[in-house]
Amino acid sequence: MLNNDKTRSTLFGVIAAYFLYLCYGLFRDRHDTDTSMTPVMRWLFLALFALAAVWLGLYALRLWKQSESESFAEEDAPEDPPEEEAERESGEEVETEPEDEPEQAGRS
Amino acid sequence: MKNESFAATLKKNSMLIILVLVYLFFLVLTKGGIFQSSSFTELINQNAYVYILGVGMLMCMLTGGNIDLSCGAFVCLLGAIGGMFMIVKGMGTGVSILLLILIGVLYGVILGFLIAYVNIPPWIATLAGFLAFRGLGTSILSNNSTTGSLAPFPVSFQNVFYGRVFPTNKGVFNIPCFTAGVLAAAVITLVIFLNRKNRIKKGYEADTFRAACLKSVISDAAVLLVMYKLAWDGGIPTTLLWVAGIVLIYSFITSKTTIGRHFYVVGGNMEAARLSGVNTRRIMFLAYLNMAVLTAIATFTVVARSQSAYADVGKNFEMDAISACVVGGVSATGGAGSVLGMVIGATLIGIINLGMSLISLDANYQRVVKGFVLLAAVVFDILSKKKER
Repeated sequence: MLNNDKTRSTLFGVIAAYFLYLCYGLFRDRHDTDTSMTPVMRWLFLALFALAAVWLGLYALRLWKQSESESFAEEDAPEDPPEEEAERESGEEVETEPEDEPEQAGRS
Repeated sequence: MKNESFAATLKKNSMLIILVLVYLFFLVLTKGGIFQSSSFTELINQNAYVYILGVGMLMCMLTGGNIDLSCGAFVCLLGAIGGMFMIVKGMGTGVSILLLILIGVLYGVILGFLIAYVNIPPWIATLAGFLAFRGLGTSILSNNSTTGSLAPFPVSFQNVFYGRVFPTNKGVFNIPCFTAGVLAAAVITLVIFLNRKNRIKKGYEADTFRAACLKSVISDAAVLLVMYKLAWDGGIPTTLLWVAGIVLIYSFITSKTTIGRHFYVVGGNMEAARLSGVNTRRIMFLAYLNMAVLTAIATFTVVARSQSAYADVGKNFEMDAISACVVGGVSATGGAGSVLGMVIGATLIGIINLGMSLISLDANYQRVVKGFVLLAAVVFDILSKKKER
């Protein structure tokens, strides 16, 4: 199942496609005389939505690549040290403490 | 502390405040036109499909930002099949409704299985439906009609999904409608105070008595206003009963049931949910099965309102549902969002649509405004996510 960043990037990709669809609608109706929208306003909105679509599309792509690299990093991560090594490490720490105490007592 | 709590309250209810401000804006712009009784009825009837599909989309998005791109095209297909059953073949309304729901269940089972168990990404699985169903629906309509649409649907079907409960003539005050409003207001007040009492009893953070009273007064005033307006416009539309019923049921499911919480948990962290014993595949399966069934119900309201099945029905419905969820604060990553938030988002978009129609704003401007509202919601979502990190 996809991770959350991937689904988020998919959603933003769909919304970017919807903005492109709005641009297409504005462009398709550019010769429509039965409208109060002036050509300047039409092209301005078209440009704005095109920019929004590109920005959102690039953001979605970045999110997708980020989630891909995170999932690869998880796969390549080193295995956890075996329990024995962990116990040995904790055992070494316990052993040093009593040695330190008499030295400190001597110093004081 | 008082200032902080006021600021926190404002932030918590920001969408509601924006909704009220937008309504007031259109109230001025339409010179009170949006406050007419008929506008309230139109708002509910016109946007019923957004509320119903929005609930389904919410459940999908809660599981991790997943969406359904096929719901609009599926509305077209179901409308065509329903027209074929009821108009061409003359089948009974009840039988046809049952069969259409079964078709919805069948599609939901297939879709849910493909997404949850075969691991096909939801956007790909539903994109197939988006591309195929409209063509299929159009083909059914062309084969069964010379005009490319099927009409009229039986009166019994229209009464169930586009009728009125205890109808009266417009301009005559509908007492059952207002009585229902008073009862609903009383229930809301009871629920608010009972919830507060339960939270205090369990030691959770609860609203102050003053805050609870204020919440109750505002909610009751809103409900009574709507029901008062509807009472002058012929009574309660049956669409409102469908919408209110679905919204209340899913509000209960998402906040008070275990399976509802599982949707949030799966969306919050799927791996943790799976390790905690939540059957994540089943939740994904149920999300899409649920969406398909709700799409069937939404089809009934749309087709009953337009009184015909035609090829363009359902266009952009999926985007309307997604917009309602995103504007209503449903997280694009999943795990956060509420039915109430989605309702507020859908109502906001509905008010904007209705307001623009009332001032006879050009259809191109209407598309642009809808696009800007969605863009603002997406930007807000991205910025709030960045702040969290």
